[in-house]
Amino acid sequence: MKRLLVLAVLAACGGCVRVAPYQRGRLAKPKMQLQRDAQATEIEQHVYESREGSAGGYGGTGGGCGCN
Amino acid sequence: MRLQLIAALAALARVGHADPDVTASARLAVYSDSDATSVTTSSIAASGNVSEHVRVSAQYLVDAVSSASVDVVSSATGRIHDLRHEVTTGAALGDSEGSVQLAYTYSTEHDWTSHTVRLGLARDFLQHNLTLGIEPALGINRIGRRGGVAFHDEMTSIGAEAYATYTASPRDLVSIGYGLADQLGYQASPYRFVVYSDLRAVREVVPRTRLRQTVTLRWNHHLFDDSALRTQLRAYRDSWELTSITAVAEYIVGLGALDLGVHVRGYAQTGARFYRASYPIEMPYMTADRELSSLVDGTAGATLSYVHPLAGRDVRYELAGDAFGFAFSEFPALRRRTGVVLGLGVAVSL
Repeated sequence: MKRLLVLAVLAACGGCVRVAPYQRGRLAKPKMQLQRDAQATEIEQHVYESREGSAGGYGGTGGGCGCN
Repeated sequence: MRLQLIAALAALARVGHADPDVTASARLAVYSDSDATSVTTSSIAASGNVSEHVRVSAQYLVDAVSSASVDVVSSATGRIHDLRHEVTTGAALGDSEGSVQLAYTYSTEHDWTSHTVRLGLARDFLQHNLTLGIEPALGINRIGRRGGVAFHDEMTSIGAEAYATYTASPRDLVSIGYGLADQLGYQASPYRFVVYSDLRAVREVVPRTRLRQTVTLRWNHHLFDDSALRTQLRAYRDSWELTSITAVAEYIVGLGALDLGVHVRGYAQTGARFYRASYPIEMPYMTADRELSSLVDGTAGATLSYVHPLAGRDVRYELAGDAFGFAFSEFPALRRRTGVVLGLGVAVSL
């Protein structure tokens, strides 16, 4: 699993395409944010994590708008 | 409670001479399933700036649980009613290059108390095209038992999630994350017993250590006009040899002040290595926890949100509905479970 992660990051950075600030209008929209609504997400995760055997893996922010 | 949160944040903002930018929200969610379980979750939250670079937040949540599920009935306790209270406070320090976040959560119910501290560090690189972050967390849990023989034990969890988020194009945002968490201590249920052999029953026993790993890939793609496709794929594996995969897809379209979203989620897991549908002899580890058996589940739902100006402020209303189904292939007492989750939310910027 660790190898898979390292390979994926290297592959992503290897094909780096710089998106200019003036091109990030769409990326900054709430619909495109990784965490859209923390309150709703927490309730949803609690529903699943209490009824499934796995947990975690929901972290992360960012999005090219300098709003992490 | 809601007014107190908002007043406290506004007062802090005045002390710091910052634009308070206070937002407040409330949410209600109702869960009901075919296994005689219902959960009503109510939460309120508020956040605001106390200085140019510091934002504080607070949230209060209550879960009201009522259940006569197979799990509960098999432990001879009849229908249970329980309340869980959870308070979270947090502060974030950040600028356009990065952020540091610290949050503390206290949760309590009649037989469980937990303290969790989370730290979040994130920094932008490559002219804000790449965000790297790490989120360590520590949780300390005290477990008890209501009624019957006195029971006390503890469980500590420590872990971190690291992620990289990248702007692959003006329309594409991709993210990959890796999570590692170790749980040490009591991880069974003090109410659950396992029947084996000639109907002898013993208290459930599972290993006291569990190492969890996750890899999560996310891809958000902006489609035509004001719409986005949001996808997520998560792989999970732990030291109990439980493996799972989760796939989520959501499509959101903006129609003026209205946002309409539809989503589907699929999940499948293998059972833990020591899980058995029945135990012919006594074994070192024995469990009757269906969440440790192999299972698949699926969810489909929709959300509708509407922004309406009121007294010069934008108020956002949200209505959400999900329907789900579970299938347990190794849990004879319950082969299927279906249910719904309905949600209602309102948020306002003050």
